[in-house]
Amino acid sequence: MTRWLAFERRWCRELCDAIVPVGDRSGRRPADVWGACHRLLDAAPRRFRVATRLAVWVVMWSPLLVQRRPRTLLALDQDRRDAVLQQAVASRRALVRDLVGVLQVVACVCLVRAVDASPVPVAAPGVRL
Amino acid sequence: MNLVAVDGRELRRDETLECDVVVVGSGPGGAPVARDLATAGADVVVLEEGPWLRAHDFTGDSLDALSTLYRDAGLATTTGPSPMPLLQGRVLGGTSVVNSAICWRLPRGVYEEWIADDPTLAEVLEWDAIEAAVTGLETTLGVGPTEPGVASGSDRLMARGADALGLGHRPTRRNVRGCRGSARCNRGCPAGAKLSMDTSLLPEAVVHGARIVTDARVERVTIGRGSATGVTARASGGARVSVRARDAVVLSAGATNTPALLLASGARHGPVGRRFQAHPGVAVAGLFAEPVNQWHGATQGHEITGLMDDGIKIETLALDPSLTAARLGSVGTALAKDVARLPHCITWAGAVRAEGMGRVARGRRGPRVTMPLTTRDLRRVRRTVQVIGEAMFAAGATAVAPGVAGFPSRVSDVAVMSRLGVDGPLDQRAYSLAISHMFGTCKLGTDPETSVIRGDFRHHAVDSLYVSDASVFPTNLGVNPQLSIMSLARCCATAIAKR
Repeated sequence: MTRWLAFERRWCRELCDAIVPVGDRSGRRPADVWGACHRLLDAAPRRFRVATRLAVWVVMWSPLLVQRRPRTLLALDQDRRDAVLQQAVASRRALVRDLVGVLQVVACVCLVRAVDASPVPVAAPGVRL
Repeated sequence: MNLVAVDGRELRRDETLECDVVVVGSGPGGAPVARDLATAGADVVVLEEGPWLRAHDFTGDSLDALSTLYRDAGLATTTGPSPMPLLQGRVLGGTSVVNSAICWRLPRGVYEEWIADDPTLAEVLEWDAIEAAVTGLETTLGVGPTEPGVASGSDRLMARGADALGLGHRPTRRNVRGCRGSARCNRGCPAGAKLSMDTSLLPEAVVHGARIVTDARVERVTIGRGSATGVTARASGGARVSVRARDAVVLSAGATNTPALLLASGARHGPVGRRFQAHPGVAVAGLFAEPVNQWHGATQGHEITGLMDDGIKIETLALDPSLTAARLGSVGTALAKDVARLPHCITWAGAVRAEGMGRVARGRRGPRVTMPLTTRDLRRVRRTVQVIGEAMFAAGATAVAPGVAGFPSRVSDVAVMSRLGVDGPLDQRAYSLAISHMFGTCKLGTDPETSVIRGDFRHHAVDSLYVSDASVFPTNLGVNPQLSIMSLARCCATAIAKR
């Protein structure tokens, strides 16, 4: 697998948190989100790995793409992040929509890792439920 | 009982094996051939690209399952503007380890379509022989309707919704024995209750002397003087495995890999790789006021059969929690709230018998699959989503997430759901489709111009080379194919034994 740059790995981790801000039963976020992402991507075909890397950049700059605001997603507070992500998920541009969908699947697989039905993750600290 | 004679992960030196028959692939296409021929006294070697994993290896974790049980982690897709994931197992037992154990006999109407298209096929592929093959299998594999004790809340809701809409429905027939209803069929059965090939036919084959090589990816069929003489494979440990077969080489690598293997081996005769057909499917999520706990019961324990004449089949599907979350149509804080309510969610899937035909070509990094859908296919997909939504509301859902771009991500009014069938988009890119049933890329037939494989499953141009998987099916089926694949595989074994 092509080596991701350190800031891309951090973006990926933090964007996954923004897409699905959940933790475990005690509210702790999983310790090694990038480790889980890396494991999934390592088993995935090259096309998916490329799409995920592209998705990280597109979601990071989604405020610019969907609201014409020259800010990164991580620079916004959670309410504004939610609004931008919602617009990106429903974008008329299939490519934007699909790439957000790719990162959403990665985030869910890596963060909502319940072993069975009962231990449903709860919201992370700071997230209002 | 140790099933594996050679583990490719531990193989450090090149290995050469000799046998009567080598079978490439250990899923529903390969295992019955190996079992039947080994039982008849043949010296059989089975090569499997994936590892041998047992019930205690299946953790239930989605990431573990995707990265160890599925080809390309279930993330390989068709190419083109609207990629569809191609779901295939890559483990000893093949896709039977990760499917939901649903068993349907080959529909008589589909067989008659095949014969109407190629009347002389009936002389070599007789309906009675297919039926005889499947009867024995159903007994061996414990095929029967989902028992009420393991019906999930989602199964009961489907029955209620289908009744309200006047649609025929029934518990799915599955190949399980002692199912505990852990809803983890797609992540490997933790109870060993699913009678997948690794727990049913392959142990029988090994008892009768078959040798199994795991973690060995076949790269080429060796062909000399117009006849297949064996295969060469690369073990995951790096060594080369060569198998020389005295009587037959049987390819059972599935509808994407079998044609790719033929092309890589220079066997380009006929429409190999063309006529790719499938059952594209959608998954729709529903939310209920009360907890449903779809993960307590069979993974897919109930199905709506009332639309099958229209090419639509709907089933309950307990997607694992992470993939259920991804289907809810929400993001950010809203998704976190939904995740906290996952026990209130259900997912149902619908598959359509698509008319569109695609193609499998040989790519640098494996098979490259294209699959365009026709407008009629898209109408069926749209109707599938509509009916699932209507049935969920009829069963008491408070909201439905149809997962259709350009349509509300969360619908709470059945009238809006019904409108989808009229106003919904007819654009493939608007739907999140996935493919788990694939057919047709090495078509069976009597005319060497329009088919790749003869009626006795032998290649038209290469002697001693057989194909036994869904790639030989002249058309798609409209039903879950594993039992049909197994019954035709037994017919293939009979044809080889006659040689």
